[in-house]
Parts: sequence; structure tokens; C-alpha cells
Amino acid sequence: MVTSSVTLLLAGAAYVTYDLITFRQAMSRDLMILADIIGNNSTAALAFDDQQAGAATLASLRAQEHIASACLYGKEGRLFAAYAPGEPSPRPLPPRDGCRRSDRGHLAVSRPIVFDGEPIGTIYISSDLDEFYGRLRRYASIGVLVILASSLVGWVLSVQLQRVISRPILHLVQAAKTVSERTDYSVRAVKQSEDEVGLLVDGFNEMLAQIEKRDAALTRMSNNLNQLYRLSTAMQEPLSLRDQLTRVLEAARQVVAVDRFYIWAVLPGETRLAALAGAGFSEEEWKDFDRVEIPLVEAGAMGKAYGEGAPLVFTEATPLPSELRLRPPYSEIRAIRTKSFIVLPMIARGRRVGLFTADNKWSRQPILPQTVDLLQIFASHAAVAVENARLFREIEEKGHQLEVASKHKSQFLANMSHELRTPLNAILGYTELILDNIYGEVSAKIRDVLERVQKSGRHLLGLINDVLDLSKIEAGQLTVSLNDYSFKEVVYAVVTAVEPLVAEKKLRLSVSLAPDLPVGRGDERRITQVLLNLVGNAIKFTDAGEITVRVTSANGAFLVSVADTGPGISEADQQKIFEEFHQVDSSATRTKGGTGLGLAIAKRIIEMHGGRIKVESAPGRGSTFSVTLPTRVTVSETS
Amino acid sequence: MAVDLLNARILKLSTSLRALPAVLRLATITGAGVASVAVPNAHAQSPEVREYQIKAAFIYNFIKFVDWPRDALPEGSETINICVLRDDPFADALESIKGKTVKSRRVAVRRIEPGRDLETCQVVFIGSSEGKRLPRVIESLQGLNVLTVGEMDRFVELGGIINFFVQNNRVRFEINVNSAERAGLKLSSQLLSLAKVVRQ
Repeated sequence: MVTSSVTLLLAGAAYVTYDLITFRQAMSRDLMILADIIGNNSTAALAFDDQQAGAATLASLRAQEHIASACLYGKEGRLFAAYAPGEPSPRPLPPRDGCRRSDRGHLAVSRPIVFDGEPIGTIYISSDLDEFYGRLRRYASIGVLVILASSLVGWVLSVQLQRVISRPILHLVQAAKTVSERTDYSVRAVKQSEDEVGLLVDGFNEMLAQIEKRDAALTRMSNNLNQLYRLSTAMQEPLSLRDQLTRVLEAARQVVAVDRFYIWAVLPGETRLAALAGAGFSEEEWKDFDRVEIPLVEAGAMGKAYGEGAPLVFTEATPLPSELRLRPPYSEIRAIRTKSFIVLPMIARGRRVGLFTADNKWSRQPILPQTVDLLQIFASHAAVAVENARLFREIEEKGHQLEVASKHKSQFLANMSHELRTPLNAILGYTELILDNIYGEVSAKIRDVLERVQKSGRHLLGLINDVLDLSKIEAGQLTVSLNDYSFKEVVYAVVTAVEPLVAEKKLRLSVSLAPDLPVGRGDERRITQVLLNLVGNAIKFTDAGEITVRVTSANGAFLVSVADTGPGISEADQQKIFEEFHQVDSSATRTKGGTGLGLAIAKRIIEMHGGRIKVESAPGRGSTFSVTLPTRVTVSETS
Repeated sequence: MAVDLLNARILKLSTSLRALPAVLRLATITGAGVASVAVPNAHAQSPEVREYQIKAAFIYNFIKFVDWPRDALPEGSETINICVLRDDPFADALESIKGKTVKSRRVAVRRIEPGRDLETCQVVFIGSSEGKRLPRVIESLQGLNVLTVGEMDRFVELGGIINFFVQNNRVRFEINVNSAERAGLKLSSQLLSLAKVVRQ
């Protein structure tokens, strides 16, 4: 409104300015023409120097009401005659002041009078601008009137337009506001006219409809995803195969609009199908259907889908060809008979494991093509479940077989060791008796041989004992018998046993026992065996220097360390020495003897007591074996 | 005639000018002062000399306001001849206009005897000495396109065209428009507006 008024005003002002300028120019031109006429009519008066005649000529300007003054000048600029309105008659004599050349508020022209090629004088005429200002005033009042009138008309029009345009738009705005406030996309704006605003309303409604549609699609998709997610979570629960498949089918029922779902598993041998699970069945139907078995060759469409590994879809429009119908007597199972169904082979890890079937037995609607992809997802879920169940069964069976085999092996070893020990004891016993001269004096030569026999026999016995221990441990037959014991006693027993060896190799053995060692509870014989093994190893592998045994206790555990100044063990070998049948250097077995079972057994024994054993060593720096053994073992840990 | 001419010009103009009075100028006998154009230093001379200087200037101006037929003033003619008949009262006064240019022609002054060489004259001045012979002179000029100028009583009544007379110590002139028509001359309405017009 303001804009249009200003525009109108500017346009009007421009027009008026242009008109006034033009008008002023026209005035000026008219005045010039008038001056020329008067000048022409004054030539004789000027030529004959007749001032009265000149004045009379000027007096004719009386008819021109806007002429303010006029003067005739002679050749030398002498005032010849003058005219001023209101004078009663033409005056031959010039007025006192003649014609002022610069009348303010007047339009004046001055023209030379030329006669017969000769300038004979000048005429000056000045006109007031009353006409000009009158026009200006007229324009101003007309302008005010026009603006007032157009404003009034504009106001009336805008009131009318508001009805036509603003109201529908305001309604649209209200609708948009409602939508955004309530996030309710079912709101629709009401169309009131067939104009642009109507189109706008249509566009708005169309947009809302699309948003609503998309919203619904998103909700549906999110729902599907949610179902699938819950399904895959459920698949990890320890459920029976039937339960898992039932879950898959229930989830499928919530996502896909199909009447019934059922799963056939192919039985081992791949000749028969068995109904495993279903959803959407009535109880009656399910009784008919549950655990039905059909040979693949008689299963018609299902047999074909399984054989080709590709889905098959049948509707009332594309019915099942007769050669793909179920053969009797299976065709008599009423629960299976349907016209609109889909058969999807279930494939897991490249193996066909069964068939996923869905039908619209009740609605008889065709299975929609867009649901096939979704069904495929459920089919593969079901396939994975079936395949997992098969694999699990397989693994379970193999594990069981392995366990039995392992038990047999350990039993064999235990029996074997025992059977080996019995004759060996006889050999060692008799050898000792001979060396004790029970059977008469023995020559030095024979004594030497017998001593070797005895030594080898004892070594063999040690080996057999180790193997026996190990096999007992493997067979779970090694037990610990818990009794109170003194670690001090254990250490002295070991020291007594190894003293001859230490002396023989000219080593030094130092023992450091904490004075306040508590009374321990454990298998004293086994613990002694472990310590003896560690100290024995230290002596065996150390050629010079000393062996240090240190025992302290802290936090309810004995801390035992056996340190030597031997060759040390490389980092890589430190990992292996606790494994069975392993020595650092296989050549060492030959020079140092031993089975390589000692540390493995020691480790098992310590672990059975709930303790730990570890080694710290570096080549050339000696080795330190540390044992942490609970002071009081309560429950023996079987390995 | 004066009115018609004026109206014809005015009609071409814008309406705002239409209101010019039909009669711009009543033909009245008004005084004419000194024609300063033609008469320098007029104040220094005697009244007699001054009167003829004014008359000479008037004659020069008459030429401007009179149209001769084409035969009388043919294209290419170089002079306009002012002929003074017999006695010359002008003395040297006509010398001031001699050689001046009017209607793109030079002004020449000649003295003539009655009945001779009149056909080469455009203007013939007939002085008061010819008063008694005037009818004859006029008759001898019949059929010629000659502007006759005189300075005697009854000059225009006897067939002359322009006659000078002195009134209130000013030189004026009267014009016989019928005589002018007979001589085939057209007189400017402006000239008539300054003259005392006689019709006979």
C-alpha cells in the first residue's frame, strides 16, 4: 500500500515535472513568437522613428493577460517604446525604469528586430509565471486527490483480496503449524478455491500425504529390522532347534503378511523331508502336519525346489502343474494342500539343509513378489539354525569319541608302566642282592658290570615312574592327598638326597629358609618330588658355581626359588620347557639324561595345588625357577 | 488590408495568441521623428537642412516598405534609382543615402528633366517648384511603376502617391493608396499605419 502510494507519487511527480518543463518551454517558445510578431509589426515605427506607433503596437499586448512588460529598443539600444499592463493608454515615452532585464518570477525573451537584412532594434517581452504556477497548483491538488482516491480504492481492494488470498493462506499456515506442533501428518488443509492458492493447498496436502506414506514405510522397515535383530539375538540363545525355528517363523509372521509358514529339514542321506516347525497353523492342522516325513522323490514342487536350489512360487493364476503335485498318500494330508504358496530352499554355508515354505491357504492371495526377499532372509536364518544344530551334533559326537580314545591311551600307559615296573623291580632287587654278596663273593669285574646294570635299571625306573605320573595326570588319576607338612623337612629331605651329587660335581649348595615358615597343608610327597626335580635339574645342568634354594612365605603362600649358575635358557625355550618330552637341547638328553617329563609333571603338580611355577633366565646368566605354592591347600585341583 | 495581413499571420499561432486585437493599429496621422539611422549629426544643422535630411532618410525607408512589380525592378538590376525632377531642394541631403543598399540594390540619385528618362526611375521626387506642372508630370508617369513623392498641398489629391507635410514641427506623410494601386505598387500596411491615408 505504502509502496504503491510512493510509486504513484514518484510517477506523478516525474510526469508533472516533465509536463511543467515542457510547458515552460512552450511558454518560452510562444513568448518568442509573440516577440517576433510584435517586432515585425514595429519595423515601420522604428524605421520612421514613430514612437507613438511603436507604443501602439506594444499596446496590442493588452490582450495578453500574462505579459508583465514589453519594451522596444532602437538600433543603439535606446528605449523606443514601453508597455506595462494597467497603463491606460500606450505611452510614447519610455517609463522611468524601462524594462528590467532580470525580472524575478518572470519569463523574459529578448529578440533582435531585423528588417531588410538590417538590424533595426530589439524587442523585450517579459511574462509573469502565473499560468505556470497555476498549472503547478492544479497539478498538486489533482495529485493529492488522485493519491487519496487511489488509497481509498486500494484499501477497499485489499480488504476484498484478503478474503480471496490471505484467508486461505492463513488457513494453510495454521495447518502447517498443527502438523509441526503435533507431528501429525494426517492433518489436511481444506481447499477453498481453484486458483493458485488452491494449487498451493493441493501441493501442501500432497506433500503431507507423501510424508505420511514415507513415515509409514519407515516405521514398517524399522519394525522389520527390529524383528530381524531380535531374531538374530534369539538365535544365539541355547534353545532347541525346534524352538529356534519356531521363533524364526513367528518373527516372519509379524513381518510378512502370509497365512502360514513351515520348515522342512532334509534328513541325513538327503532322501527324506521332515516337517520340523510351523507357524500360523491351527492345532488340528498341526497334529496332521507335525513330524510328517515325505521322500524327496514324492514331494513334487518341494522336491524340485530342493533339487534345483531355486525358489518356486505358485498362485491361483499360475497353478501347480500336475507333475509337481504331491504323490499319494502324502497328497491326502489336508494340512499341506494349498494353491498359493512359495517354496524356498534353505541354504547354509553352501549346503542345502531343507525347505522354507509359506502359503496363503486361507486368504488365497498370491504371495507378493516384494515379500520374496524378506522371506529369503528368514529362510537363511532358519537354514543357519538347522546347519548349526547339525554341526553341533557332529562336534559333540567327535568330542565324545576323542575323549574315549584319550582315556584308553592313558589307561594303556598306566597299565603299561605298571607292568614294566614289576619285572624291573625284580631285576633291581636281585642285582642289589648280588652286590650285597648274598649269593657269594662277587669279583670286581662283575661288580662293576652289575653296578652299571643297577644304575641303568634305576634310570629306567625313574623314566617309567615319570611316564606313569604323566599318564595318571592325563587320565585324571593323579590325586593329591592333603596332610600337614613342614617345608623345612621337605627341603632337608631334598638336600640329603642330592648332597652326593653336589659333592661329586664339586658344586656349592646353599639353602636359605625363612625362620618363621608356617605349617603347610598339601601332598608332601609330591611337593618333595617337585623340589627334588628343580634342584636335580640345577645340579644336572650346572658344571661350576652354586645352587641356591630360598624359601619364604607371604600372603598365604610359600615362595620357593631355585637358582643356579648354569648355561641359562633362551627366551623362546622358556615357553617350551614346561611342555611334555621337551629339553632345551635335544642333545642335552643324551649327555644329561632325563626324560624331559620332569618339569611338565612339576608344573601339573604345582597347579593341582593351586600354585604357579615360572622361570627367569638368560643365556650365560644362570636360571632361577620360582614356585608360588598356597600354604594351605583346601581342595585339590584336578587338571 | 493591414488587418487581413495581421490576421493571416496570427492565425498560424497558438491559441493563446489568438486574442490579439483585430485592429492592431488605427491608421492615424502621427508624427514621425528624426530617422537617426540616416541622419547623423542632425542636431548641428539648420532647420532647413535638417528637414531635407529627414526627408531623404524617409525616402530611403519608403523603398523598404514598397514592393515594385518584377518588370519595374527586374532581377539582376543593380541599382534603385531615385530621380529628382528639375529643381533639387535636397542640396547634399540625398548624398547621405546615395550608395546605400536597399532590397539588395545600390541607391542611385539622378536629376531629370520632365518627360525624359522617367522609365528608369523607381522613385521620382517632385519638388514644390513643379506645383503648376504637376498634373502633366503625373500624366507623364501614367503606366510606369514609379513611386511619386512630393511636398506640396493637394499632391496626393492630384494623383501623387506619398506627400510630405510638416505638422507640429515634425515631418509627416500622407499616402494616396489608389494612386499607389494605379502605379502597380504594393505598400506595406506598416507604412500605411504611420501615414495619413487618402483614397481618391
